[in-house]
Amino acid sequence: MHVKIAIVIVLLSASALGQRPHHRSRVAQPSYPLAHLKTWANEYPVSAKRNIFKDAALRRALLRLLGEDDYQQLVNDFRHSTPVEIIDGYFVMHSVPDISNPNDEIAFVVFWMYDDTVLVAFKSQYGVDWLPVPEYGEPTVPECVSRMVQQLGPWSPPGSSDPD
Amino acid sequence: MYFKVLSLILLLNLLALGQGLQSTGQVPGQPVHNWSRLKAWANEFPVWKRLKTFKDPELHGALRQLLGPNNYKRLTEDFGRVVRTEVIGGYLVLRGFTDKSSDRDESAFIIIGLNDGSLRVAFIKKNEVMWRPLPAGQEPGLPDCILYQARTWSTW
Repeated sequence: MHVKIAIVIVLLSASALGQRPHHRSRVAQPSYPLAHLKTWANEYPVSAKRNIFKDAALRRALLRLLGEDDYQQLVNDFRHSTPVEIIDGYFVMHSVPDISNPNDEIAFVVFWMYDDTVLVAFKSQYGVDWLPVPEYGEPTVPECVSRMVQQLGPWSPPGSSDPD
Repeated sequence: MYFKVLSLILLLNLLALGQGLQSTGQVPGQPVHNWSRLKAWANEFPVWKRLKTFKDPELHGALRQLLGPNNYKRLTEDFGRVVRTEVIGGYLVLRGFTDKSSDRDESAFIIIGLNDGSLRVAFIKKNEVMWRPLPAGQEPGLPDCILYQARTWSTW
């Protein structure tokens, strides 16, 4: 009889422990250099506790694209930012311009989760400057991201991408 | 001695049950949702068996409560095929559409508020969007990007 009770209790213990499947489930290990950054979804890129620019893979990709000076400018733009978004498989983060300066620049960092090519856009009152410069003016990004770049930050004339 | 061991096992059992409740964000008597754990689904396919989207006890219960059994079944059918989960403006966005086994041609969105604990569902048929829990023709206060996707998301 005691053995039966003990078995029932052990079974109950096992089922109770089994109530945490989502804590035990693991997502696939990233096999792409920037895919691991999805854990930043809905997190601020720069906060008192964490700084996404300390991520070696992202820093390397950004430095390769921008060079040291523009990279520092980007980091500076991200003093204020909104939480990271994942849109249609794209990682999207952008800075928030200084309210006291309506002409302040806004910066966007966008990349497809399965590629190590990072796109950066600096938007000022003079227009949007995408890097790397796409052949036909604007890079291929989800419609939501294009609209976000158009709508956020200082107003600039439509189609006024910096030709330089 | 036997009773001491029995008490210890029971105590461990209760502790494990308590952890199970905490992990779903449920506090007994307080049906406040905490969906923040679900952000781990970002950029994943939401109905992969190992991710157990609809098997998540809290989400399952909340969806059934929101939709009722018939519309819940309709929702699961609308998630016959899915795209990767998005995180937009603090919301987890799950998008699905019926597969060829269904005689209906419909899409659905599940919008989960990671910060505010909200839960919304949209059924989309021929560009007509029906939001729950809202009267027909009304749109919830959500980021433009999500509303734009719902308006333009046609069945494949």
